Amino acid sequence: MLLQQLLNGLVLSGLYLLLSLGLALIFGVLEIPHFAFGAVAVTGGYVGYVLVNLLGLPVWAGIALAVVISAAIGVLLDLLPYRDVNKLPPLNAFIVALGLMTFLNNTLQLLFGPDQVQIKLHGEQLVYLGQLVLTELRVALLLVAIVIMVVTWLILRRTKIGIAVRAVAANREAAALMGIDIRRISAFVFAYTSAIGAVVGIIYGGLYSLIPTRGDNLIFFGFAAIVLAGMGNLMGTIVASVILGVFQAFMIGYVSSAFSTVAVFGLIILLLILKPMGLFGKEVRR
Amino acid sequence: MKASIKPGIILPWLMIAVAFLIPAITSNSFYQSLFIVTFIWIIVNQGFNIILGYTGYCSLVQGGLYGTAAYITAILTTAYGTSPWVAALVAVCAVTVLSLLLGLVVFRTYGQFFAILTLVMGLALYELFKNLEITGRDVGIAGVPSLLPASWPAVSYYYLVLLIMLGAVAFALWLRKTRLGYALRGIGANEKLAASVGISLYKYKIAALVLASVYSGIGGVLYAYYMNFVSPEPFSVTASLYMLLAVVIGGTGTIAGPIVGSFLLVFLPAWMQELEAYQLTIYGLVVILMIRFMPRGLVSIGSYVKGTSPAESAGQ
Repeated sequence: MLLQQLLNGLVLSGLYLLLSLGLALIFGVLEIPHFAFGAVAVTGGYVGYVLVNLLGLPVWAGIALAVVISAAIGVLLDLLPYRDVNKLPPLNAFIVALGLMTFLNNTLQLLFGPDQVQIKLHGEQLVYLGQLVLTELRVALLLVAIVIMVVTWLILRRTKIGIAVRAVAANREAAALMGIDIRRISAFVFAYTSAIGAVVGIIYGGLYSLIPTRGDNLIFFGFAAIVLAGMGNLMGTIVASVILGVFQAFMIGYVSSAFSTVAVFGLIILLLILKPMGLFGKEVRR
Repeated sequence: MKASIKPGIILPWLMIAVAFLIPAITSNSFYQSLFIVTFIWIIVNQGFNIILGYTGYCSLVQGGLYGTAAYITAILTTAYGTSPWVAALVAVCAVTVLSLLLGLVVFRTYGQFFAILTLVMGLALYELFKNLEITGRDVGIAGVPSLLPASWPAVSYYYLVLLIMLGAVAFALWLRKTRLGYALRGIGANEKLAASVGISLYKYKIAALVLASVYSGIGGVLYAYYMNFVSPEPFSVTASLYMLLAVVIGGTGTIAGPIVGSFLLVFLPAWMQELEAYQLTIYGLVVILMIRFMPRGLVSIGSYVKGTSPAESAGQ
């Protein structure tokens, strides 16, 4: 029972991990608090829903196409609402993100209505690991989360564009002076993270269900993880996602599911009181 | 509002006169209720402006505090039979104390961390409204009495809210010229500089949050007595976001800004009713466009309204 809850928690963690990975990348590199990321993920999920459920594409093709479309949406976001937004005061970037979130939520609502939809990913068969049980889809989610983490790490460490991304994160001006095209890096980061967002949205839509405003819930947990970690800290983000997912699963399993969200928020508040810059953030005295 | 040619002092007084005459001009109760709701938003948004516009701290717990005051009012009057004015007083005091406690905690962070931490607190409050037995879960609490005796004409509540709103705006105007007001704006303009000239940041920032929350609390109480009903939805994080949008669209750090923003917040949706489904989509677009192309808000077009030179708020 305990191990099963732990495993359930890890599945949730995988979801939060992917979300917070995207947020941490965008914040770490571009300094944008991309609050609309949850809405972008849900948009990707709905694209998947159209492709798989309505147009009847095979699941793998639907996911692949949705990921490409979502990446294109990411580039659009970079070019339109977020263009040069980090030159404005930080609060303005935050408000742009909130505006974008409202816009996406309600556009989805106009297109698809308020009712929940489930993406037909199948994968209901049970997988037994000793005494523990998971559905195929949950196993797939865990594997996908791990693969995306590793791929992201490899891109950042081993590819030319990844090294450029890290250079921009470390020092924007210096990176620009070294001839790195900041606009291109920015577009790449948005495309890449939006692609991850689509994966999250589709898996979430298959595992649970999608409604147009689902992104709000997702984003709060994603943000909670990166705030807990200390914003922009990738390794810390992994640890924080695991803590949140496992904690929430235990709350659902042993206390009450109605209060699990409150409890998670309480935990975040408590941890931030103790460590205002996050668990792994640098302490800055002002 | 735009057509004013004469600068200065006349316009505000003219608007106040019009506000007093509204019930005489239109007996349409739909319009009267729009005005009451607008006045409540003006109160809440003036408060939001004190924390956001002056100190630059974006406190997204205000919607939750607004709701807390409304719920305390509703619980006291329905479950405990407390008299309406006593309940109102208790609710505002409770929110004041709560905000003081929150302030001790949240100002350990700054910038976006502050915005996110207060957002999380607002969410936690909303989740509590939705899940606690005493707040009536998803259903809410019905049967909240009226603040004024039932024998008084319905229009008296309009005037009560109007007077409280004017008092709230007058206080905000007065605050600007006090030591506290200058200190808060100093923090917003340049926090390090403010500290270096001896402004005690922690104390003043908590004072700003508490003041803002008193405004939110008063707004929440007036809302509960007006609707005679409270439910979780109006107090979700969206409420805080609406405050943020109204203040930013109107003009951050100005007195006129929150007033203009509140009118837009209430009247635009009411006039766009055929477009109801598109409302929030348009809203999101407007916010993005405003912040990109007119970051100082609508009042920056006409800096003639008294005491609202946009240059003053340039620190934002």
